Amino acid sequence: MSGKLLPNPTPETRIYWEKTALNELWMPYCQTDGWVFPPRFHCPTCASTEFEWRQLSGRGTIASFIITHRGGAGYQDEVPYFIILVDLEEGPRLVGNLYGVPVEPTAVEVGMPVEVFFELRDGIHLPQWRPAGSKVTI
Amino acid sequence: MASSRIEGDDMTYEEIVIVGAAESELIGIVPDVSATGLAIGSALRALDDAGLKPSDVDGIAGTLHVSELALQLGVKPRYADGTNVGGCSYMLHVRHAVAALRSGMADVVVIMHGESGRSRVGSPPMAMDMATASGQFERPYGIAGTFSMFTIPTMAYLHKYGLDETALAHVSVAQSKWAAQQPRALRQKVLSVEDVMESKMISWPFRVLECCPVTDGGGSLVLTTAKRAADMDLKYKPVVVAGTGELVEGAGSSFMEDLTSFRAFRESSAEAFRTADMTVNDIDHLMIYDAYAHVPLYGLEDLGFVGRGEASEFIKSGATSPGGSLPMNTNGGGLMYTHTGMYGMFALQEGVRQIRGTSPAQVEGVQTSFVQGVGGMFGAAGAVVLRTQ
Ligand SMILES: [Zn+2]
Repeated sequence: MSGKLLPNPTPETRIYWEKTALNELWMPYCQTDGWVFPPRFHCPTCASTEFEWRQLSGRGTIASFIITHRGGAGYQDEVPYFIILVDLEEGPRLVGNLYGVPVEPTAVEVGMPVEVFFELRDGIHLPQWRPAGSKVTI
Repeated sequence: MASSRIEGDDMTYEEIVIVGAAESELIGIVPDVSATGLAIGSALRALDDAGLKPSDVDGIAGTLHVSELALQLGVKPRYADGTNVGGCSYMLHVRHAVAALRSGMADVVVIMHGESGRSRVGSPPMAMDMATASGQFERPYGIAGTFSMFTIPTMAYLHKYGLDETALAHVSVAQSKWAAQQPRALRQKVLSVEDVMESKMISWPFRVLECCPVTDGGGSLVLTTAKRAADMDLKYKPVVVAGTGELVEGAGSSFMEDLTSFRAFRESSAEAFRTADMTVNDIDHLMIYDAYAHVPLYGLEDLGFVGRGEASEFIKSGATSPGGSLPMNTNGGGLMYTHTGMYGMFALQEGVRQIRGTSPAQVEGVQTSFVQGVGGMFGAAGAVVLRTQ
């Protein structure tokens, strides 16, 4: 066990986590209103339950970031590290850590292109981020 | 006079007033009082302001278990409000109490806060629900505390307006000047930008002096109608709740619609201004909940006191400091005064003190105070406008 916190998938998010296990990023999509995130059984705009899941590109840009010097559960030995917000090319926003760059404020900027990769943590695959084109994994 | 009107609304509403307001005897580091004890202690002090006893109370509100609060205070309330949307819950309690008092659901409401945030006396262990949206999509990424979650949108804001990290430092500097006048403030030293920038890095771009300390404390408010208040033996003139607003936006900072502006700030403040029939020009004194130094920047802009991207320059100019045109966070704020975890009650207390004229950092001639809260790390907001009667 890594000691790091694990998401507790619910019926609403089951497909999301099943797809990350295949190294893919999928979210529900309403024909009328677009992406629905966090995943749920209805569209919060039109209340439709008749929508499909679609795959996302896994490309995005850094919307914001911090460099934390105090580690969360299981992260204590990794400080300092990035926690970033990623605006996906298709629109939804995800939280993650950024790998493959020096952990310094000057190494990144808002708007920097990143791409997803997947961290296997105690049986769950979590979306994580690296600079676009990088081959870094953890 | 004992009424207020809502624009476009023909009804007149009964005036609701705060007749009691007090903090727990001790705040800061209080290792020998439980969270409930801090709440009850402050409630008894607040009731004493109005010459009331627990037996006079028929409504209670709080973020601790309301049934436990009822038992411990010794009341059997016919109105109970356990709304908990984080640190601004007490602003929502005030708003709900106004409605309850006007509709006759209660005659005397006590709103209580007690939190052993630092010492954790009589407090359950902090648990995280990893099945919520935040638990599944935010918390797994090494978020150790609010300092690495509430703070995340800040770089988007600084980037948008071409600002650097000192924009945050100036918030702490301005508020330290107020804290120096507050004997109960945990941090009382007047700070320079250098002091702040050289303090320990917590979560870049936030240094420790741009993050709230974690403390213990309690605070309570007693509300009733102006009509009932007229028959009470009050220590202080009643403080009128002139307007209120609330909005619950959602789960937290990564789910904000716009990382550079907080919808719940915009909408709750607009409703508070509208129900008070006031604009920013009518406000003498301002409290903006500041768990971290970026929140007053968002607040000043979202409430409409300054234009977009102007808050940092406004604070740097001294406008919110002692002697400035818009005294803000005059208790030193959550950053300097105290921050038990759910700070909103302390912002309300300072708003009441300024209207009563009893703050250690009293600003001359305050007739109106606007108190803006945030909860759940950009998840919800509540606003209360206070004025003299
Ligand atoms: Zn829809």
